[in-house]
Amino acid sequence: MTELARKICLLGDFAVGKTSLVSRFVRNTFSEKYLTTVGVKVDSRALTLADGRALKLVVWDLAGKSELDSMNRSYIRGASGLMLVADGTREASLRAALYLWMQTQKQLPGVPVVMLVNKLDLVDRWEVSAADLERLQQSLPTFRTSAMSGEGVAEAFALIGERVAGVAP
Amino acid sequence: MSRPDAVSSSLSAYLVERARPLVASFDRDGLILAVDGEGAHYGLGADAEAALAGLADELLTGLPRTEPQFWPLIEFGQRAISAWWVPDDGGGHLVLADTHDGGRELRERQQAANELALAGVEKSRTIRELKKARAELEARTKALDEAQRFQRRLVDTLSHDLRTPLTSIMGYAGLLEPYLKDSTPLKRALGAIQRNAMYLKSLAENLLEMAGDAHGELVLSPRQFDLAALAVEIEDMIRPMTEGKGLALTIAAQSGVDRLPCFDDIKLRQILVNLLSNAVRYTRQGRISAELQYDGQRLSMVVADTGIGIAPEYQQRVFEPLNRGAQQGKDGAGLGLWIVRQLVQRMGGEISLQSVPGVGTRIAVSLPEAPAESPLERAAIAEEAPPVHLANRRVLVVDDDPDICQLLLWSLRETGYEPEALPDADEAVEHVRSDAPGMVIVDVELGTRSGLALTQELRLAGYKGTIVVFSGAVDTRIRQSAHRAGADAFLPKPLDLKRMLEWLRSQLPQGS
Ligand SMILES: Nc1nc2c(ncn2[C@@H]2O[C@H](COP(=O)(O)OP(=O)(O)OP(=O)(O)O)[C@@H](O)[C@H]2O)c(=O)[nH]1
Ligand SMILES: [Mg+2]
Repeated sequence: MTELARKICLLGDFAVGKTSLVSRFVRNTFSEKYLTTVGVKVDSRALTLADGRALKLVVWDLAGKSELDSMNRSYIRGASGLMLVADGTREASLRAALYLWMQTQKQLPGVPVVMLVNKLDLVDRWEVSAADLERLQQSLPTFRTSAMSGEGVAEAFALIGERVAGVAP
Repeated sequence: MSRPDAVSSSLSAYLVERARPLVASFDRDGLILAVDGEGAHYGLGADAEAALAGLADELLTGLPRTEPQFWPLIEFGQRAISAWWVPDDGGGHLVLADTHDGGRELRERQQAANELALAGVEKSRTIRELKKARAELEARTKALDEAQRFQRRLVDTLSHDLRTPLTSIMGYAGLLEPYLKDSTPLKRALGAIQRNAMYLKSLAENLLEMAGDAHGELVLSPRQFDLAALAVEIEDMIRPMTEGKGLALTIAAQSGVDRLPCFDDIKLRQILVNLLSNAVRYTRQGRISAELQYDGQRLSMVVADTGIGIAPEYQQRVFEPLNRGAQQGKDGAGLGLWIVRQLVQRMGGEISLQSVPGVGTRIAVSLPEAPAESPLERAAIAEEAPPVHLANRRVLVVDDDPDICQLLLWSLRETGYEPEALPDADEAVEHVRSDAPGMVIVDVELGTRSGLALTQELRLAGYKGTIVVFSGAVDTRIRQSAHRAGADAFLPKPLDLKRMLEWLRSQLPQGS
């Protein structure tokens, strides 16, 4: 197998839009209906990197939890990068995402991470403030996204793709 | 203890049957060698091999193919499955197995729990928003209340402050009247002063009424009263206005029954004064008339003039507040007819207007009789207090307005009393103790203290003489408070000097 492939995991509280972000990224679709993910859902999409190489990004969409349980611990093995997802309309989900990240540190020290604060289309109901975002931005690349409109989604996946491409699997 | 072989084999046969395993075997290059099992059960069709190769690649990305792997729960198509990677001679086998009901129960439980949690988040958000909205509303209501209270205080203060100088103007003008011969320019000048003072007075009343009405405080206090006496009183009030302009004035009262009518007579007075001053204002020549008629159930009041009249298109607007277009070119705040209509409505009555430009205007008011007064209100003292017998002719006037003091001193002396005046309450208590006057006349609105507090103090100190209080506030509440404080009579401001003197004359100690 000569193809370049990397595994990334989506981590975040339930219903923040992890599955929706993957659907938008992989199939360019969106559904209003909430169908919770059980266990994990694995998907992939090919990306062309800035240097012209092709990358197969394998996306592990983990069931939303506010803590990393043993199953999720086993699922993140082999991941080259993490995508943290929070829901801008629920401030608690931002804290959950950061907590989950902290819990992965031992197992995946120093892997590239991006933060997605999702549901940008509902920005008038956001609890996450501009000051919160600014502070986040200082510690990790942060994107404001909407799985519904697609805003910010491609950019976020492109960045994590670039970052993980330089990491040995 | 180890399981017997027969048990183990039947158990594994059972488990294999339930798990419906699908096994894809790969060589060391990752190429698929064989598939064993029902692909259709996992939603796989003709391209099953490609799909399984893809899944193996995805699951093993980042992981060494030389180590065994286990994934207990994976969403695959519509199902939740378990998967293993079993390494074998450089290659390996991808094993898929069914979870007991395709994960349906687990999914439902998780879905329900998550939705419940989301609903909780939504609920607390809504509660937070409601709380915020309520706090905002309360703040806004408070600001509005404050603004209204301020406005109310402003209007109150204004109308009270108008009353005190009006007492002086109307009082002194009244005192001058007997000294001036009819039809002299001075008499006309005096008429103009009286007329305008009267306008000011009704303006002050209307302002107070409006402020009260805007706060829904218009309280009716019906009581039995003498209709004929009301007519005379109103005539006395309006006469100087009509005489000054050379208009004829007739006010007639008629009752079809023996019983006294029961209405809020203060409001009646206000209605009549407004209608009549309006009539005087818009009539250059001819006459003004008012007819009061009581039939035992309703009181009808008809005020007619031979004035400039109101054009048909303006006839509805005259009852609107601050409207001046209706009777053009005339001054006045345009509150009078509006107040009249408010009062009539509050009293459950009707008002109608007929007018012909250049000929005159006729306004008819019909009011239903109010239910009988409460005993409490009957207890409130009337303006015409019952005669009391004074012990002596000494009178103490307590008022901080020197003009009013002067006016009262003058009139009391004219009537045969021996008056003295003091500007403040403390001195007054001392004076009453040493001098024991037959009567004390107190202004409720004293500079530093309420005249009612002084009244109370005098009574507490054992003073038995007559106490008369007068005030710019004329609602029933103040009358009742005055009564409770120990006053014998209450007089409204501006003081009607003529009536007051008549009353004082009747109070003079007998045989002196
Ligand atoms: N308005 C809006 N709704 C979104 C967006 N992203 C997701 N949703 C909705 O949010 C709900 C949850 O989305 P999912 O993608 O299922 O969330 P999840 O993080 O995968 O949830 P779990 O699988 O339970 O952890 C669904 O009703 C989506 O339609 C978004 O960007 N905007
Ligand atoms: Mg999901």
